[in-house]
Amino acid sequence: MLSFILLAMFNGVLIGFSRSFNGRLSMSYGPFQASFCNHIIGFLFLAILLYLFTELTLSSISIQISAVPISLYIGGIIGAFYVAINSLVLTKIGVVKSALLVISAQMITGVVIDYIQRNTQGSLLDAAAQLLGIILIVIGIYLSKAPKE
Amino acid sequence: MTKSTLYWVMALIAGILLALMININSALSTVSSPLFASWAAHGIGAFFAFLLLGSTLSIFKKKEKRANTNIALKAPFWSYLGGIPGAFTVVLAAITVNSSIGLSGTLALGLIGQIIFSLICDHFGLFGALKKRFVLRDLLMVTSIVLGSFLLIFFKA
Repeated sequence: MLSFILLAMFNGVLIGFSRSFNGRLSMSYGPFQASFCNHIIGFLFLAILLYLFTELTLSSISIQISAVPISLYIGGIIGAFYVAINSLVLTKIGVVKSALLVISAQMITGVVIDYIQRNTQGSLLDAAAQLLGIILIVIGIYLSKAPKE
Repeated sequence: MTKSTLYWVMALIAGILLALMININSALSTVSSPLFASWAAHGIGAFFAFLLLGSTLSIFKKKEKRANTNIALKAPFWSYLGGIPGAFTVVLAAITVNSSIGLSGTLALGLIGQIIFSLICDHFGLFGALKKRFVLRDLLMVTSIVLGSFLLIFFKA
């Protein structure tokens, strides 16, 4: 249990490393360059992992690629934009503030997506807790807006 | 709109994109596997970032040239490797989501890890970040966003 807790926290640290590295690269070469580099390196790294740890072969991968509905590949396109924007913003407003704003919008969008996608009715307690959560996040977003100099 | 407001809005847009991306990529991983889904998403992302690069290069060339000569900083070797920890998160998440801590624990603890890392980066000015003093307003901001996020994570209807 403890090892999983540490592992999950370490995962957040890895996200931090990735964001900071990409931010640093975008300072030198620009956000789209950082996004490209991030994706091509990740692509190659995951290719190695796929080769080492799964039974996937070239032919089974091509079958898998064609079996997936094309709409599910849109996530990759969004990712290209996400990494670029994230890298640029991190260098401009700081690591903590950019992380918190991204997380805030991500969390609230997640609630909206859940409400659109699900078909069952949640409990009143859940709805109240979610409302409180959104209010707290909006307060945080408001606080992150720099006061007038 | 001032420049700082623009970046503030862009950070929020990035968060919206991230939520949409995770939603689509997790649908992709349920019809394939987390590793394959991330690999495919990275490949498509690389392709599109390359297209964007090509299309924006000519527009921004002048501006960037000037900016580059101003700062004149060469990117250190490690800054090219952001894709590796990013890709590795997929593997770790696949392990922790299927453990006793589940999806909620994975999300909440990952959030804590990322915030602690970010605080250290800003405080010491690591990885090219500007040194930033942590003030009371920042503490209130961190606390309310983390608490709010925890409520959303653990009371997911």
